[in-house]
Amino acid sequence: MVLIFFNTPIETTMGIVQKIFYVHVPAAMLMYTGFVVCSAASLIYLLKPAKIWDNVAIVGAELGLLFGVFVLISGPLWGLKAWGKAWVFDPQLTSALMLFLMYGGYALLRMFSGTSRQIRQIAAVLAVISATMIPVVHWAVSVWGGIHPTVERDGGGGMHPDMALAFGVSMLGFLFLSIAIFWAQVSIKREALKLESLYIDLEDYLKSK
Amino acid sequence: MMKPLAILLLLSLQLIALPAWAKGGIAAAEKTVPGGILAMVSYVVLWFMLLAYFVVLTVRLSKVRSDIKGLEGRIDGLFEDEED
Repeated sequence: MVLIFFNTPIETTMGIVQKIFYVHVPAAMLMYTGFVVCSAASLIYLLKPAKIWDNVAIVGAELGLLFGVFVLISGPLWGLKAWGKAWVFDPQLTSALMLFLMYGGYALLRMFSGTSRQIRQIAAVLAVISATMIPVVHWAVSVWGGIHPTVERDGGGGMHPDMALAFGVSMLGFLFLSIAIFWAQVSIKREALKLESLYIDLEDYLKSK
Repeated sequence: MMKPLAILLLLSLQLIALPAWAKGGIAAAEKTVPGGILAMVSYVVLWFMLLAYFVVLTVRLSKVRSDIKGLEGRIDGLFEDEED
């Protein structure tokens, strides 16, 4: 925060609103990461049905949605100043919203459809299909054009060294934060799984007596 | 735990969809909103979301811990019954 607000120069064209970039881009990267983790764990679950992979998929989706919400809030806030419009149906914005809705659907399915094996498998298939949207979002600008900026991607304009430093530090901070959240969530899920199996063992023991 | 999360998710979807359908109004307001405020709102939203998520995680952790305590109590009660 100190680096972003006191060390980086104010961008000449956009002004101070450009500082949203330092949190918007890392959040977008973590949104992708969360969704990739969700889909990869779902694929593993379909091949080798172990509950831990199912739980890893849920944690990945939650992480992706958490940062996805922020991406879809901070982006329009920036667009309001930079484009004069909070939302335009640009290929990247529209595909990002679709990606968010697909994994949002996955999360809602997991929340309201019980925990049967069949539901877990259907949700896993949905997560694997949703992963096909990730490259579409990432390369939407270079394939279809649009007005979304490409600062660090192909054709981007690059950054001032101070901006690059703040951006790097922010990326690192977001990365550590997501690792901490992921680790905490997986630990809670693992403990809950152990607890569940202990309850089952106890019930079996009581029935056998 | 699932209901508050679902409400939060639906509320987020509504908030996200709002600028998409209300372009005219928000674009008109653009002239009066300085960039600094927009940047600040963005950072406040980020911190608020992270804080809310940590609260959700803490609640989940305390639920697992209370379940463990409940199970321990049941096991202790079982052993006491067997000893009697």
